Amino acid sequence: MKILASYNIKGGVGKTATAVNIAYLASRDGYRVLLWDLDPQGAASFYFRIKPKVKGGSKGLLSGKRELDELIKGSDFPNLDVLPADFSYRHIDLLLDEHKKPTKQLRKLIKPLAADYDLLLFDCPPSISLASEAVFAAADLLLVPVIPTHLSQRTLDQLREFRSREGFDRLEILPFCSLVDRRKGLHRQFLVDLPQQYPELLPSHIPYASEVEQMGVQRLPLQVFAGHSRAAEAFRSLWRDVRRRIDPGGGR
Amino acid sequence: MSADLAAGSLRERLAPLVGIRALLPQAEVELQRWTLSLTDGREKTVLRLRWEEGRVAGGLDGAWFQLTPRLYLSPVKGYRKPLLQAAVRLAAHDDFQPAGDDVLEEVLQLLGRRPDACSGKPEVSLRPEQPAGEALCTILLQLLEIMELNREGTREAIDSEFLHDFRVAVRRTRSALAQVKGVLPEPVSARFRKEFAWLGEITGPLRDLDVALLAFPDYQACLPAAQREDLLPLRDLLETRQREARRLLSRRLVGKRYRQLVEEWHRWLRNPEWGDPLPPKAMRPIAEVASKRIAKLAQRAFAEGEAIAPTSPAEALHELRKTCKKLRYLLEFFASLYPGTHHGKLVKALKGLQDNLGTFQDLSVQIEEVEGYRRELAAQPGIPPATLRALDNLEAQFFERRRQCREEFGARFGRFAGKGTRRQLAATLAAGTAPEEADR
Repeated sequence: MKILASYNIKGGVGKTATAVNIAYLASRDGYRVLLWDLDPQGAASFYFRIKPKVKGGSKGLLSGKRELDELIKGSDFPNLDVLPADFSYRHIDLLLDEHKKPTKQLRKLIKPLAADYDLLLFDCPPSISLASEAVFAAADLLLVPVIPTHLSQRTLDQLREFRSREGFDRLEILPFCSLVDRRKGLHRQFLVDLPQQYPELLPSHIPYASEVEQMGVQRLPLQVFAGHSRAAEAFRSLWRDVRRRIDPGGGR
Repeated sequence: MSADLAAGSLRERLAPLVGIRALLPQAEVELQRWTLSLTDGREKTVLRLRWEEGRVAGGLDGAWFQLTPRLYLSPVKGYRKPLLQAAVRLAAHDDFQPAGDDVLEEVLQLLGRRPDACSGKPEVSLRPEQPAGEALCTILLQLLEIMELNREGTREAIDSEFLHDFRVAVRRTRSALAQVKGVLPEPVSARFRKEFAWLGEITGPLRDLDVALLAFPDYQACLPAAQREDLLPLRDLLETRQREARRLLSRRLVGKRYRQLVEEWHRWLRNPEWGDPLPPKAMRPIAEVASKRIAKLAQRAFAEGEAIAPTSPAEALHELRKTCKKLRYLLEFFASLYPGTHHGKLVKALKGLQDNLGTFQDLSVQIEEVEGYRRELAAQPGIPPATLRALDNLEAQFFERRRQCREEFGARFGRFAGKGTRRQLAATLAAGTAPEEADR
């Protein structure tokens, strides 16, 4: 099972849209996907029309007393399941802290999922916290949407530094440009400059598009209601980039 | 064969079950399907429903049978309540009832087919006190049905197992007639023994060819890689023969003699005329007749086997093989009379010996056949000497295998004739005692 996380310390950069659309595209390609909505805001759950409620809350979840399987809901799409958000996730840090090795907890918890899923995708809340660290410890790959500006450089540097300092050597960081507005000179400039500084930056970028905002109205992955749009094509391209990283052999 | 299916996971999973049997289409079904989603307040699908209705192509007159419309409920993971609620509401609704069977079972039932209809073994439930004549007629009738079920498949050579099952039914019939004497009127028994012997004869050559062709890859595998291609002229010969044999048999199975045999046998078995006086054992309880016969054959098998020394000729083993086969058929016919585990254990012990004897017999036949093929091919122009050498090598391999088989006989028979088997035999027969006898 490959474990991905859509992450950025900043909010509003397209984490959830990324998680939802990548999860959907992966499921269409035959991967058995579980999307775990870790953000107490519950946007990913909302896009999939699933109630942001988990029986027993985050306490029950982390204690291991509840089988994760009982809490998972099937989305309307084949091969795509969702572990919904719960407002109690806002306390997740406190609960993790109660354990001896807080960051290892999550990794332990998700192990049994490997039997049923090929891909686990976390939609992370915008923060840097014990919960984020737990995700870093569990994940293989971090998908980091960044808006092509100066501040993103700071974010990426911070992230790189954090990774090496905390020893998450296994973790691969894959940034990509999101909410790109080609009318803006600054964006165009950074689209050229960023890859030079960050060679790991994925070639595909996601344009700013009203269709993506429409996801909140349609409550569907982009591919389903606007498959021909530029944004949908961009996500497909992004998924191809990601897929090459997780399945170099070409798999499915 | 599973080769009838396109490559993929379905074929992979079926191949070990299907083996060399052909897959035959059973029914043509036309279905219309409506898929419905039940959604909640968030317009999330919480249950999927599928409505299916249709028809299956029926008999020869082109009629269709209507299928019962069905509603399938498919749960969505994590949404159990909607599934349960829907099930409860449907159960309470007058127009719906839980399906007792699935659509495949319904289709087969409408067409009067059973999934295991091509089985070779007769399964008869007998009562120990049943008159032997009646019991035997039941068995023979089932064997006749099996034969007829396999007739078309044999004629059309759909796969080799149809002919095989056909021949086994014929063999069992002959065995029943010959082994259980004094139950049917002798003229009837003699007449049909002759007819079934004829059937055995006309089906033999094709079966031998089927077996040889099925075994051809194994023959090649016996030889060193360099020689394998040299054997191909043999395959050509066999295939030519097979085509001819199929043609001939196919004609005979629609011919007058076969049709008459089947009609008359069927008629007699359904309405037996026992004659006056009655055959001596016709009214005896079948358990008594069967047990006596089984005991006698078992003793004969023990005696014949014990008389076999390492220097005994091959015929001695062939005779023992025939005795074992007769015993096995009897045990199978009358299995329902011997409840408990002993019967199965006895059959298992017998099978152990039969495997060895069977292999010995097969190899003896194969040796003879290869000698025959060699002579034939040697007389044909254009056959390379390499082919004849390959055949010689093949024959040598068979000789060696047969020698090994012969060596194992002693131990195999020892296991069969030991105290354990004799105890199983006694226990089996005891379990089959007819009630009146038990009271004596």
